Amino acid sequence: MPVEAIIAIQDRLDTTHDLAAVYQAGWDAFELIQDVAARCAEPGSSSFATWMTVMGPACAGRDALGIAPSLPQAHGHPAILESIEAATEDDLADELATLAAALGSRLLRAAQSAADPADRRACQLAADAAEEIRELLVRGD
Amino acid sequence: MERITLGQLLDLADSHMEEAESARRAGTNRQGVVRELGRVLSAITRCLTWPAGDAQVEVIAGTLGSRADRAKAGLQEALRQAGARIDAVRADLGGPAERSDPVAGHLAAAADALNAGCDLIGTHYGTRLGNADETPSNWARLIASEPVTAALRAEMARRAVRCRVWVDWLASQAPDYARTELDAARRWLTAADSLMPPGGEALTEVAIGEHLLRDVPLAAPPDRRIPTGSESPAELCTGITISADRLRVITSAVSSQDCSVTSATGPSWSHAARAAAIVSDLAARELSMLAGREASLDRLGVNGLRLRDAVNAFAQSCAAWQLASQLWRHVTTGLERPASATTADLDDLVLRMGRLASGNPRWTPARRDRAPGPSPVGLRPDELAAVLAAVHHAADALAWMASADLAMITAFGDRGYLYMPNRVLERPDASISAYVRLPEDRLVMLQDAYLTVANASHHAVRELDDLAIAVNAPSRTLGYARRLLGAGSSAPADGARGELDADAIAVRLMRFTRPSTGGGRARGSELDTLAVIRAYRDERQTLDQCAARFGVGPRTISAILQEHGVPRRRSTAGSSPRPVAPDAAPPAAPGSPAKPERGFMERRLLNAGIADSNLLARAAAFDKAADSFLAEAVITTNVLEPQTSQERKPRDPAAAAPALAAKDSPQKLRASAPAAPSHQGDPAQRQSLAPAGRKPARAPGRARRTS
Repeated sequence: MPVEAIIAIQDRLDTTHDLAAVYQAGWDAFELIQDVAARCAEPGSSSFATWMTVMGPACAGRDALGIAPSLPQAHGHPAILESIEAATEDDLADELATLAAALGSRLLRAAQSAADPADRRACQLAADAAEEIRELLVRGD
Repeated sequence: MERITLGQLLDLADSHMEEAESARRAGTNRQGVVRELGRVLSAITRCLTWPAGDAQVEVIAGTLGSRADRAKAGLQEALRQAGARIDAVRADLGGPAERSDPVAGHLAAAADALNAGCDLIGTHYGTRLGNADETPSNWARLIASEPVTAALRAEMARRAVRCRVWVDWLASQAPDYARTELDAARRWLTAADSLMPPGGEALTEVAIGEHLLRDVPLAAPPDRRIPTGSESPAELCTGITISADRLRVITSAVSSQDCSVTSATGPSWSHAARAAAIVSDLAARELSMLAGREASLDRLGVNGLRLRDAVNAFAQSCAAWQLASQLWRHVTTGLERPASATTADLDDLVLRMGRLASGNPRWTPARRDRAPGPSPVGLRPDELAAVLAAVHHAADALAWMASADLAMITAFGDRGYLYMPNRVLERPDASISAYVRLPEDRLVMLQDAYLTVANASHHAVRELDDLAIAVNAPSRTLGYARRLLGAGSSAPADGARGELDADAIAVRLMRFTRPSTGGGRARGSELDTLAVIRAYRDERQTLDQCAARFGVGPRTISAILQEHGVPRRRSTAGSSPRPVAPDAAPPAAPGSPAKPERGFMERRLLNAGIADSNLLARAAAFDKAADSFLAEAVITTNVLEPQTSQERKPRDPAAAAPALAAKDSPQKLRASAPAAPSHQGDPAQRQSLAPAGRKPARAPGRARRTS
């Protein structure tokens, strides 16, 4: 379920073309990352600091998009993550790192095409947050 | 800036006094000695002026102040008189002073060191010009405590007595008229000797006072030391202590700021909660590792079980901070700054604690950087004590931060500066950017979460206090200070601490994010919920006592407790009440009626830890005016308030006017939120927890809020 949810959002990011849809997908992606990070953050494990730290840029990215002028007023219900037990922590980290990379690059493209400076700034901030998440979760060599 | 303490300056003065004594010879320039000796006595007298005392004459005469005040004032006066006699003979003792004279030079350096010590103490009290922006430092209360002032008196008297040998030396070579003055100076110094505090009484307290006095630092925080990635364990411990020192000072300053100017924001509180959770988790791991080093612990005489208790306390602290960080996902202050004054230091603390716990000098929270380093072969007792001290300092800083955050969040909530997404609270289909003011029941939950955080953090640091003293760790000062001032220095009441596991966090989070039903008890009476919970849970009052105190029936109290998941106690009739938080309203005496004179505004102030008598008097005036207004409204509209003997409505004007409150809610909260200062902060302070080499996170935009 969690991996499928991540892949579904990534598909949405890949297939959206208008700014409003990118915002919606981006907002949902950051929410999902927060959800997964919050559930994976288990005190005592060596990854606790990583997941707790991931929640920071995920929250910042979501908030950046939340104030973008072109964000549509109506917004569907984001997918509710019932459980993360179906996936291993490493798999989730890999999937989220990939999602964050896709999210960052899509938001950067959106920043370049946005007409409103406030939209551009929101996209840039959110893209930075996505890149920070990718840096935190990417696997070492 | 290196950490400098009063003890170091006193030692420096002593070493120069010794050098001067050993360099003294027949040809020593007497006028130089007289001049510098006068400065030494003057510096000692200055040191005795802290903490500031007024009405010196009345104190000496015994009409004002305590016995200790009189001893201090007497000593001060004796030294002033001795100094005046020495100054009087300066012109009569040979040629002008020579700067090159080594004896005078050492005496001058001793006087300089003592004056610097005096200035160092003074940094904890501001300018004493009544500037409202100045607040005494965290050390000010300690310096003013009896054991520390007694230690200061003893230290200064010892140095004054040491000056007698110089007076004798001068008198042996002085003409008759000068000798008379010097004899008088000697008599005053002898009198000073007799005013030294007696030893032997309450030896522990004397020793604590001496230790604390020597450890008084400069009130200014040390300079930030940015982690380098190649620090040794000893350097990591030093860095952790520096960050903790800075956090204590900065937190103390920030918590005294007004909501509209403080750098604290929702994102910065969220960041702080996450960082504190990580630090607590790493501290538990580090202590767990220490607990496994039985050989080193045996040599230090520490029972490993005590460390295990500390590990458990940090696990609870971690869980509490984690809960707080989860709540901040759904709350905002509407300001965009992700960094506050503490952000950079918290990040440093996380990095260094991670590096210390993992043994990897390049550890970061990033997945690729978090591999543990090689396990250290052994740990010498002094190394173990240093690690324990570093963790102790970190824990102490977090406990300070928890208390300060609780106070600030209460202030923000009371002013209506906290917001929640409308889609979470009221309408799932509402726009993402629509926010509403945080309802009071959620504010109470947020405050309760921070009360849990503060309790858990203070409990964790108290576990380490005794250990640090037992192993003579450098951080034992923290333990001594808490012993001296009592837990009430900054800690909330040591209330019931239920286990906060993942399930408990999930339940609280679910309750926090449930849609608002709009039903239940009236808006406006909700803030009292925290006071009710505190009274029942922390002060151990019974349902009836709470009911009497808050002017409602026991069933209402019971409903509030149930609503907020506070477990009910079995009957505690006859049990003594638990310690009361300094910021909690005083408990009603068993069997006595509640204090009817405490109105709503007054209780709100007291609940927020505000005990200023002027403000309380103004709050009482507001309450009285509100009562009059309500009475007038009831009379003019001829509507009687529903009231039974069991369930009397709280005397709360806000509860009677929800419609009025709703009309006041801003449609565009942007206008009512505190002004956002410039986003262009110190780049160093905007460094996030990102892995090394990453550029810092940039701030999100200002939240667009509509109700």
